[in-house]
Amino acid sequence: MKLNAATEMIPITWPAFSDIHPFAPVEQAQGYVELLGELEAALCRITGYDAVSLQPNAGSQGELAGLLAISRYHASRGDQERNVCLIPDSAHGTNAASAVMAGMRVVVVATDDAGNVDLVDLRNKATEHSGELAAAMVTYPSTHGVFEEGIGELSRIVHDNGGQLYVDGANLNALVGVAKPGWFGGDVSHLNLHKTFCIPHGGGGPGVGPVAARSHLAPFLPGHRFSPRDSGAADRHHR
Amino acid sequence: MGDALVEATATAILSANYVARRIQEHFPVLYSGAAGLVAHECILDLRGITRETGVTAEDVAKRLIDYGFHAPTLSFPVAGTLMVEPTESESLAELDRFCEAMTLISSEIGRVADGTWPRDDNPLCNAPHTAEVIGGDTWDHPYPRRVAGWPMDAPPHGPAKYWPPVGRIDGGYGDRNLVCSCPPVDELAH
Repeated sequence: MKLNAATEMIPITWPAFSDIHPFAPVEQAQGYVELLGELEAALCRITGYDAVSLQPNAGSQGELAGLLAISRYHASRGDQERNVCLIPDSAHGTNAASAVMAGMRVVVVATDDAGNVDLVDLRNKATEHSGELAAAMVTYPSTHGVFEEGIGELSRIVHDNGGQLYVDGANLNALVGVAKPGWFGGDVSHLNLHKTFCIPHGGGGPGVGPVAARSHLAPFLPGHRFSPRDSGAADRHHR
Repeated sequence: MGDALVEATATAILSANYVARRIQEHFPVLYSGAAGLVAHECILDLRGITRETGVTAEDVAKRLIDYGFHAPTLSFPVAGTLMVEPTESESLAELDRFCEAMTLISSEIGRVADGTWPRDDNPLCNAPHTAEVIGGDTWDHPYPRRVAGWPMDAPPHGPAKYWPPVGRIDGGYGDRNLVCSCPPVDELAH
């Protein structure tokens, strides 16, 4: 388990970080604006995505936000019937729970003998639900602790059938600086930064479970109506 | 991107593969990639050992407390296994200490398998051992107190040894029988 040392926790107790009112006028929060902007840009560089929302307070919330972004993207294109989410049976239970909360129907994909997503089963299920496929959710590297070599093929199958690929960022610790979900097929990911870096666990807060996406999903990421910097999430492109 | 972040990633992956390679002769690694490598975590498959000896993944997890370790993830994502995710946080010395503990636990399992210790009274099924139990006036187990409480002759088994406040609990029962520890509403009323 990642060692989240006290020295890394202490700064969040500093008044300069913790005492600002959430609705302080933006001109009094310029330091925050800069800090959040830098963090978003860094997370875009790490993940290969185009936009980041720091609104979710935990990875689970990031999952829900990412799946809702997919739903709204489909709806914006008149594809309201796309509500099937393919999830491998090796997935963390949160994946299926988030999909159901986002109004999706979960279809389970089998695992092969080597612990990988069974691509034959994935192709069958994706084809069977081609007209209603919203997304597939996968973790990379997998919860079985393997860099699945079929990830590229998996991405093609999902996209060919009209779905979006949700890459669960739980194992980003094995990717930072080496591979980017936005480059190997992912459309959206949440990041569990207590596992990637050393922030506090979101469950008890203060935490953040950023959700990052490619540009076509960016307009559907959570923002805040009172925040000028969040008024047009789609404009926040960083590469 | 900073070189240090790349190094952290590489170290996390190297650490998991180091542990997997060192432990696999005692505990089979369930999954690996085509090149025989794991990512940043590995699943140790206890299910065969459980079938043969009755020693479970939970027994090993609890026994690790006696050795001074917080157990790895138990029974996720595969029931009856342990998932080890060392990350880049642990030093080589700590990884070695963990591998050594797992090796010793494997030999303890061997003593259950060969009948030296009964299946229902051994350091594994009785783990973790509290200070109260080890320091009690009576001791009627087939292994010495020292084996129970100080199974490894390496730090931190001196004054810094971690002592669990309770012995084995029935986790399944606890999950199904919730007890609210909040004070009653009356006490909160002004």
